[in-house]
Amino acid sequence: MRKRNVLLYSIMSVLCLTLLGGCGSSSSDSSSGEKESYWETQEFDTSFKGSDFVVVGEDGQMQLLLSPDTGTLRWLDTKTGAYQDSNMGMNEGITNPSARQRSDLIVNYFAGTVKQDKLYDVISSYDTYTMCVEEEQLNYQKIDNGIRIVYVLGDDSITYKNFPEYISDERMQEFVLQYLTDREISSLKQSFYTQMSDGRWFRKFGENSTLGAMAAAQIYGFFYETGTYTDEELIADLETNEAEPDEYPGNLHIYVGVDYYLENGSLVVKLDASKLETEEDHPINKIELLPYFMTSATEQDAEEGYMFVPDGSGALIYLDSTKSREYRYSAPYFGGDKLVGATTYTQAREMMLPVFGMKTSNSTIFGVIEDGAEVATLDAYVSGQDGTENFCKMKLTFDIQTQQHLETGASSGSSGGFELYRASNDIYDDNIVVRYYWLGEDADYVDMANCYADYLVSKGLASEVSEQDAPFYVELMGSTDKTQFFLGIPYDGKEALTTFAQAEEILRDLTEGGINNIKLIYSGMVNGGMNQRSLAGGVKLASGLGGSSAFKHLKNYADSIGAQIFPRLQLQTAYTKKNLNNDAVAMDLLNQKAQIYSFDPVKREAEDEADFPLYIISPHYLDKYLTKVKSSYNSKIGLNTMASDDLYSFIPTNYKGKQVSSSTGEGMLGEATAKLTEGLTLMLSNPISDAYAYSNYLTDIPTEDNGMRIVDASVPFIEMVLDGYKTYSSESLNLESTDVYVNFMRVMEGNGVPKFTFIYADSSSLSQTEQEDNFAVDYSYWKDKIGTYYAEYKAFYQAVEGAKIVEHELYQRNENLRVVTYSNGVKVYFNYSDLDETIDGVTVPAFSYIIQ
Amino acid sequence: MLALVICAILGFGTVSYAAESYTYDIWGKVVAAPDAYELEETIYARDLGLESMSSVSGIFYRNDKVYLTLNGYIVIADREFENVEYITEYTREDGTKSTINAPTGIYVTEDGHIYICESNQGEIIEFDENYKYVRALGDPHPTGLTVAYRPQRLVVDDVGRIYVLIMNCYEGFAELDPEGNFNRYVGATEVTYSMWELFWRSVASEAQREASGLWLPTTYSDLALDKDGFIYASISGGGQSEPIRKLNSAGENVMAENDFIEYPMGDYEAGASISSLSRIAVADDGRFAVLDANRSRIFVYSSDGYLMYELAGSGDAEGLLRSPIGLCFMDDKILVIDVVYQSVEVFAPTTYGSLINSGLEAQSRYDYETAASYWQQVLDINSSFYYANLGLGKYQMRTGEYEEAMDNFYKGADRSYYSNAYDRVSGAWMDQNFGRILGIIVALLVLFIAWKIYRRFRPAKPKDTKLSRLWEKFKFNFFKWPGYVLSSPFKAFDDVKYLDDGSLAFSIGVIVAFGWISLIKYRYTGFLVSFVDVNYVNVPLIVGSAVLPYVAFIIGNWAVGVLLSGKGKMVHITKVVGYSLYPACWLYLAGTILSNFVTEDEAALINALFVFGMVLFFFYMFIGTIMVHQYTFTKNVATLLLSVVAILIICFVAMLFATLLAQFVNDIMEIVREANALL
Repeated sequence: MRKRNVLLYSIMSVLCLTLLGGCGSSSSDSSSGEKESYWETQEFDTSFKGSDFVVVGEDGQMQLLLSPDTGTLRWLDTKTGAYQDSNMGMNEGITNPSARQRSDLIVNYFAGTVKQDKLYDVISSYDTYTMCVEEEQLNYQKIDNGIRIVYVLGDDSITYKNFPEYISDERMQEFVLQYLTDREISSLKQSFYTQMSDGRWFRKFGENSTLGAMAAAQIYGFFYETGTYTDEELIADLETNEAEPDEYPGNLHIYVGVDYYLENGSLVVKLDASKLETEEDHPINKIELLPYFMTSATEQDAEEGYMFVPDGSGALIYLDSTKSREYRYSAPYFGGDKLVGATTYTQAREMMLPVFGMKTSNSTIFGVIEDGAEVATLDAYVSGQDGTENFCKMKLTFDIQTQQHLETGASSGSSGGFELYRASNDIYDDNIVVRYYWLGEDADYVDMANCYADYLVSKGLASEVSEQDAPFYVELMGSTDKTQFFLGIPYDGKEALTTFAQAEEILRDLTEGGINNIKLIYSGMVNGGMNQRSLAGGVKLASGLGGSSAFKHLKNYADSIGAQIFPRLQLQTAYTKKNLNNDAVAMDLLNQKAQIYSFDPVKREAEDEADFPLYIISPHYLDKYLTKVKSSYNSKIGLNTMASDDLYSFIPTNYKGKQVSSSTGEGMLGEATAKLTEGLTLMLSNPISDAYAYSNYLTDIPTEDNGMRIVDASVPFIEMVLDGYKTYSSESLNLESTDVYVNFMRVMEGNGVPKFTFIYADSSSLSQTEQEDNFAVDYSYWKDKIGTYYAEYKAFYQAVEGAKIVEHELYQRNENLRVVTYSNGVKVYFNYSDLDETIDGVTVPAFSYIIQ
Repeated sequence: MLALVICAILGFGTVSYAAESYTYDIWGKVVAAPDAYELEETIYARDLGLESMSSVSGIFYRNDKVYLTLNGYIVIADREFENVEYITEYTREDGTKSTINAPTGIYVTEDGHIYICESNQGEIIEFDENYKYVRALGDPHPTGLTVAYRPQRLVVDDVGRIYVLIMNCYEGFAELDPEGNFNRYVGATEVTYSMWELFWRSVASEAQREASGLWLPTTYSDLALDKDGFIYASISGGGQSEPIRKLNSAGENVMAENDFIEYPMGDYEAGASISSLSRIAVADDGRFAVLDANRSRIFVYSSDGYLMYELAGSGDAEGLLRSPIGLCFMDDKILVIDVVYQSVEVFAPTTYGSLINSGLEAQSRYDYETAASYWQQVLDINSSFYYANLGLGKYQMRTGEYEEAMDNFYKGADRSYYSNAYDRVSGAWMDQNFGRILGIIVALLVLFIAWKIYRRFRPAKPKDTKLSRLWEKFKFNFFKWPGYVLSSPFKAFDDVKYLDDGSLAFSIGVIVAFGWISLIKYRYTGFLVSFVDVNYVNVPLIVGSAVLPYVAFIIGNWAVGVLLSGKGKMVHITKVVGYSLYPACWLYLAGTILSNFVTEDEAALINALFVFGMVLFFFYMFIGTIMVHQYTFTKNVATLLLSVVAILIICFVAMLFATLLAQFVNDIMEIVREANALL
């Protein structure tokens, strides 16, 4: 009967919404009506019973077992006997596991009342243990080499909401009192209802004085069993009394189906988000998938392993870390949605590969998020960081519905504060697929990198490449905006930093200095220079750099020396709104034009009145935009090489009109990029791994992690993945820091290509411009030094030419001492400390390296 | 004032930043800077053999040893934070055993004696270099201290005098003699209050005054001693204009004041600190560092009070802090203790930072040559580090490269050095070219006389072409008639009144041109005369403040004239103002050009020129208004004064209107924004 209620309310709310002309939200509208029936019409396999593990899948030496009573899955290595459970319910290291620790899913949903359209307040959560396992609502379906578990979350308990707060005397007589004995009536009067002076009956219990189980049964009997009161009458009473929406009864039931199966040596966890079922007013906003699967042993001192997070170049957090006072590691994959919380300052923590991993003393598990990474957040906790949990854990959270926090209301008196969110109507309705690899107890992050590289190759995202000679990346800055004066009157002028003729001179200089195979990235050479304006009107050369004839001359010269020129364009963003009409700029959840804000370094407040605001191109417009760029690029630039510093650096989204959240945006970005790359060689700047399919030249690949305190050591993980498959360079060595040589060593540690950024003009020409934070880029300063760097790099390049990294070691866990072994047997010893150190009998001077 | 109104409506543009590290340029604007320091390592409690460092309270470094205080411990470690030793208890003279309680301040003398403040028990405890108890100094009974004696922090000078910061003591630091007897207070901070506060105080009732409490001077938050015996003291709480002091033995603030650089005060806005400086430390080379508790930042200054670099900040990345509560220098490194992370953070200089440190160090030895080479390297990395320009310039003055020095002093904004350098440059130029200049003057003179003689014998025939007519008109309008006004103002303004002489268009043109000339003056006035950031020209403000007063005067004077039977029409007053302002235009232009060729001493002359322009304006305007209104002298003075009142009223109304409009626009925007969010 209760289930019927749920259905009833859902249908009612759908009806209401339709009547109100509810504003065309696509997936959620149809979900409750049609899909509600989906799981209820499914046949479930009732043969799974008992608490003993049964084998549900087998693949090589790996087995997948299920304990039907608790739904716990066990992934077992039959050779070593090592296993990992999907939750901690059976973990002997924990005396009394909490409900969350026993759960395989935690579903967050909007619990409060919906204010207006898509404004939500309270967020609540269901975990599978209390809301499903304990309620005995686990359902199973046998699938190929695995099991589908359908979690029905929710309970049918009777609450005060099943009884009206006020009911008129007539109706009370009609439905209840006439059927009750005198004793029952007095009992009702004593404990449950009291008659007021106006004759109405008032409910004594409520939110603050809860109903015991016995009492609940008693009053339920009075009303619904002895009496003839029904749910319909309850609704009628509530409507008569104009009750608050949260007074309406409703026991929310959420259906989640998850497939667990073994495939090609990996465990696949697949959640079809289109088949999630909930109520219209309580949409799911986040799902934590297997929050206690990636956990370490509870005796942490014994653990020698680490958690791997793809932060920056890749980073390790040791399992015996004692940094419980630090913030946990937490970051959205691919930088998250740029349109959400854009004005809040955060430190950079971008993860461009959808992977994570954990090495413990008896197993190494490496996870690849195959689908849904764009909405995923990775959290990694060390022991003691999440309450009293004395183990490390990694968990994935998937955003089903993008939400923007609007405000936090102050708490007043007895009522606590409130939170207000605005949510998108483009709900994630794709598959969420996480593929776990069991790499064995001896594997490390190098094996993880190889595993991921193989994965990319199998998906066709990478293929082997080779360069003719040691490549070298040089970035030049063209022109920028700077206020100029005419007789004291200021006007928006341009400042040429490197003209085409000067670029040619630099190229000639470098070539004569013995540098070959130059990849010249030319920034700020089109449409307004470094603060590149919209390209909607077509690509054209920036003024003041010498015009098309000088550019042609530069191209010819570059051809003659075998250098490639990559003009660098911003394709997903543009400075200023000029040429960008309202449809072309993405809109955020607050209905404002989406910007990428810069922050005042003192107070870290977003600069909302910047001279050159950086707007994000709407995903709807992107395809058209890139098509325009491509056609004009061919005619005006005449090159088949292009670099972009923002294409695929984030996923475009839009929240006005037809809403586009990350998962939809990812598809649109892919389509637009695929068209752009036809016949064009693209160089991308530290892109999301999806973009590897479109670009063989990469730049700005980080050589270190982002420096979160919780992280213990950085490893060149991205580099090890890309090694042999792409030509990739580091970030410019002379830009970020003043310690150029250390950065240079890191480039070689990752077998990458060094990159430098120059301007030909004096560096003082950068002052009073947006580029004034580019220090030490003056070419005249580097002119005589650059040759030495290249010679040193070339010697290294030749020593490892054609070989791949097969081993990478942090010597005795010392972050400053590293040993890299190549497939041709060459070993390189790096010492980043300021003292001479001996590694494996090899003495390496301070800040130096030795090739052996 | 009116100009302000306009600016309030228009708003200003701002600059954006990408880099984390920053510094303030000579105009107080935030500019990006390279990182000068990076986190080298973090020392946690277990590295020091401690259970926890949740009560860590102070850190000190002296002669290869790091001293840390926390509840129950004094921890002594070497530079690598190894060979850790502890002081946990001590035996007093009378044989009673005491344990370290909760030390709040620590100081270690050159010979290794450790002094700590046991604030709760009102004692200063001294240990010798072998960590043996020496003595305990109890309450010295400082004069006038009405609260319990709670020593918070201390320093000990070369002769053994102890300077103590006492909690809730508003007299400054207590100076104790080497025996621990109270000598005197030094460095009392004066009570500061604004005019506004004074006003309220005077109108407040007795009860209100009671309620608002006493006016207490701000108290110091920390003190440190440099190697020359000066006490550096910090004051916490924002809004201070001098939150860092360098006190001499007389307790006077002797912090170097630089004309164009803000007084050292951490982060600041509009000349007032927005930092809360909770700790201060001095390095042996004279650099001093303060800790901002508001934003967890550390600011390091040169001994002459220039901001060298800023480091740390609040956050969860390496090199950022959560709740720093103490700092000290360890040679070129900086140690910070953080009570939330429960750690000692070791910051080490980057290449950039150590170049600056080396430059300062060489400079402190008066080795300007070595310093100059460092400064050049610093500038190669960050061309906007103006302090390096100063150092370089000083060296170039010695080597005779005056022109380069001039350029460097310009960038470093040091006017007196610039003036010296310019003096040398122009002197040398004069020496070289004096003959030539004299020759040119003589030649011009000869040519002029020759031309005059030629004209006498062959007077030019008046030509009647279009061009010549235009030229005549131009000459008449721009020189003849204005010249007539200048030479005989009474007659000329009389003509304005009765013959409607003089050009209205010309007058309006002059007023507009005056706005433009103000822009030219702003942008091109020489460095020694100009005191503004010529790269940031706020056109509405400058033009507005130049032109609007005259417009307001025209209206105000006309309005007063109408009321007080003045005969002048608006047109006449406009002409009066225009022609009176005309000489000022030329003087401003001339002054602007000349200002580029003067030394600091002569700068006053240029300013006199600008003032003279205004004096002329008032002179002619006065005569003009007498004539057009046909007033007597006294009546004119009165109406002019009333005009001023009228101008103020106009300003007030305009201001009121602008404020209301701004408020209205603001409200509309807010409504739009909220409606937007709900759509």
